[in-house]
Amino acid sequence: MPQAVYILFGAAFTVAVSMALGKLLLDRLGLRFYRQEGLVFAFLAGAPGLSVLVFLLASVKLARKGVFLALGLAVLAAFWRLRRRDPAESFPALPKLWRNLFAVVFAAFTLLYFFNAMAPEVSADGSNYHLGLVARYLRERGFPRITTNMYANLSQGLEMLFMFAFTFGRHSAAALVHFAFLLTLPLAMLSYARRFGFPAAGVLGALLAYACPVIGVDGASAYIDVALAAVLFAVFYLLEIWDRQRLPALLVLVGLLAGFAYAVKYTAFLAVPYSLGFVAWRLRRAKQPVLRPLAVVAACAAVMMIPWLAKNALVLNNPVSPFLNRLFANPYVHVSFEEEYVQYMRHYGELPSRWLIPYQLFIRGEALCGLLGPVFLLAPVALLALRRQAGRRLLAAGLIFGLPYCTNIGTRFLIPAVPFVGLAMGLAVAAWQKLAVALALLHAALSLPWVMSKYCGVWAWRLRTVPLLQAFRVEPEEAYLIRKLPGYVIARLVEEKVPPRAKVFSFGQLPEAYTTREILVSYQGAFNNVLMGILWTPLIPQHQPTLRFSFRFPPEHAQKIRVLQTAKGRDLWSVSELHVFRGREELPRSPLWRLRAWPKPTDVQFAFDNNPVTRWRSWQSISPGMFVEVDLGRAELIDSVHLDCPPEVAQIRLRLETQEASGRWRTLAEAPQAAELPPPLGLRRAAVQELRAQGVDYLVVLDSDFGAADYRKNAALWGLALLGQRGPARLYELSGP
Amino acid sequence: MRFLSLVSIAAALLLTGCTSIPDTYAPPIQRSPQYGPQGGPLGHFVSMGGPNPEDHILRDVLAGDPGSAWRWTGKRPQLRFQLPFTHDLRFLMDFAVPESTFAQRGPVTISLFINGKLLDQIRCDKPGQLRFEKPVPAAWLRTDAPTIVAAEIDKVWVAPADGAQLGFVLSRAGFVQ
Repeated sequence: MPQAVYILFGAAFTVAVSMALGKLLLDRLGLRFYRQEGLVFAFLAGAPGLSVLVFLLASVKLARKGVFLALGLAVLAAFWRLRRRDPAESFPALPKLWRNLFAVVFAAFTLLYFFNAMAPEVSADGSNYHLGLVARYLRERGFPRITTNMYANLSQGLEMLFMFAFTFGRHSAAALVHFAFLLTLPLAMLSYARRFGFPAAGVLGALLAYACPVIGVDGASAYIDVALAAVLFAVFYLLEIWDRQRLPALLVLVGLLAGFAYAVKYTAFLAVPYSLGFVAWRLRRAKQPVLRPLAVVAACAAVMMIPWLAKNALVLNNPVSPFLNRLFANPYVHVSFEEEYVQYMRHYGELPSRWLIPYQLFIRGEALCGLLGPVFLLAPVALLALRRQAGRRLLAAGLIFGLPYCTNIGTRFLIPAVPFVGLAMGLAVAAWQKLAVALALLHAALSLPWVMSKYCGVWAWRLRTVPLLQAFRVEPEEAYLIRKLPGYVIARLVEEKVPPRAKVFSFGQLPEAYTTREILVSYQGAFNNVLMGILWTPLIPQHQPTLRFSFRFPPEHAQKIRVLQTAKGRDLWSVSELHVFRGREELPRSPLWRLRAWPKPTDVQFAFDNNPVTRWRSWQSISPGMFVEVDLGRAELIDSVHLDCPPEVAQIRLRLETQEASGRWRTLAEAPQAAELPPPLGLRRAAVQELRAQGVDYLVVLDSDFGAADYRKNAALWGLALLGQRGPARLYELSGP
Repeated sequence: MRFLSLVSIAAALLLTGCTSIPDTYAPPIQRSPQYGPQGGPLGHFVSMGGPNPEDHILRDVLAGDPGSAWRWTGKRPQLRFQLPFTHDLRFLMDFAVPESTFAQRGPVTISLFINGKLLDQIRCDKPGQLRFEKPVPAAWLRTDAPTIVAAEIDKVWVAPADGAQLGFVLSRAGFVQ
């Protein structure tokens, strides 16, 4: 059967099961909507349900095609038997001009988006981790314990729907599920506007959002941001209906969707306080009881959030991993990485000045990954909508859901705010009909791929063509992926040369959705950071243990000693080796010894392995109280302790202490003498051997990676055997001693 | 409310984390000692500010101030090194020709010998800190006995105070990969 049939079935089956589940839930809650909005709410209410069901199946390792098929058919059968058959009322018809305008623009962009979504998945995040993880879950029939990929730690509510679709239609089916949310968003916006009496503003707002370039490219890819925007808008919309009708059942739906927003993306946790705040505000104004409705919203939100919090708490000791690692100390994500990552996302490395943000955001779209379109430069006109209650509420919601932009200035992070701003712009200008129509047409025209190329950046993230032949696989998928996805050939090289279950270390991301091998990306986990540090040590003299701190003191019987760091600063502290001496003799490291360190206690053995490429590191800025401790098993006569460290220690202050019988720590020596050590030999080979000892046997190096030339030139010295080369990438096997 | 309480308790329990991480660890398997810092007095590299420069000096390197990271050489300094292996090694030397001496004696040339074989001649056309680094053929080196590195400067500088014949200022030398 043609591949397109599987793709369309996978997506359609997922959407149909979601809608059926949603309709059953709406019926069960006794909720009635207008016909147009009923379809929207059925899909958006059912999606969280299907997501949770898939999560539960993945948790018990039942994520497989047969199970999903049975589940979907059972839901459809239940829907067929239990659905309410009385027809719902329709909204009053739209005025002809607005109906035609909406129909033309909506149809044109729907075709553009559909063919792009159905074409082979070439988006960066989609092919790297959204679908990379989905594919891995399916290979393993459920959630494996992943501690080396921070993206697996994020909430993945939408990926559960992707997984359902992927089972039948693979990558493009998942992208089409996101496309379904993209379709839903303007329909929800229009329904909202029709229900509350400003359909013209609704048409304009919906088209501003739907034709927005970043929304188009995101929604036509296996990303999650447009789905999130649709869910958040539904939360707002339902709260507005509740404000008029005060039906308690609506709060169940509000809570579920607010919780699902968190399940789709961490940054949308704001939907929960927003919902609770709105309900509390409106009930207090009406002098009605607050507690029970708030409890309903909170409990329903918790149902959607707890699976993800629990999964992370169980696997990673941090319910909100990869964030808040200071609060939830764990060995899987380093505090220093989190701080650097958060800092980077606030500024984006490529942007020399914050003043360039608007230019990039609205017109160029290169540095911030996508553009909103030049018409959104007129967004301040939305402030005119403040004259109306709806305008004030829209703008307030847009402001709240746009807040995460402060933490990540990528254009995608404004997508949740766009529907609200778009509708407020619609409210502001809809009274001037010609202006409103012109604005909608101008925005649509400027968002067409061949028009965009006239003004946006060459590398802007956007849709570029209508890939009709590729969507229906007239051009084979493989050929298209080779042309469009630079990392695809590397992923296939890995697939071809690396045996199953082997681990591959890579400095940068690869499209993991196109290989079944496990890729450890340098920045994606604490373990990976350590591996990268090992590989960098031979290349960076400042990382090599060429400084020895020596504590000398009168001979003393001691069992427990520790080196305490007492300064506060921005440096990290690291110890390559800790040696304990009696005279000129080093005490051999006995199996009776017990080692401790804080922070990063799990790496303490690196300071006692006699390996200059490994080191214990604090992985967070130094603060008083950090220590490396040795319990010698019994009291030993000692008179010096030596710490071999890399020479990047300007801010470090150290003290040697011993523990007395009372448990109190007493200073043995202060102010150690520093002396230079020779640069160790054999570091390259030692690094490769250490990676092998850590279970990694393959290495992918791109020409642009740090040290690439050295790996190439000194491959024999490292112990690297070149297995293949594709474009700028080389795949090496780490060979034995 | 009861449901909410149960949800809160469950959430609180989960937030405490459930993965068991040990508090203490035994020393791990020791990696090959040849890669680690030198255990004996003689190694493959010497820093004048390091713990044991005297062990490496055979002749013509003057005593330095305690804790100093550099020392004057004479005309023909000699050092010895113990190498763990001989392949893919480069000889590295950080040294200086002080400006005050350069003004008087002009450019100098330093010849470097490894186990009696001329490795290179370093022409110093200007004063200041310099680094010399060059691969050494494995056949010149040995692991069963110390490797001798000798240098010879073509023009010495005679210190006006005591008449000492000084060559160049040595900071670090030895073999790296």
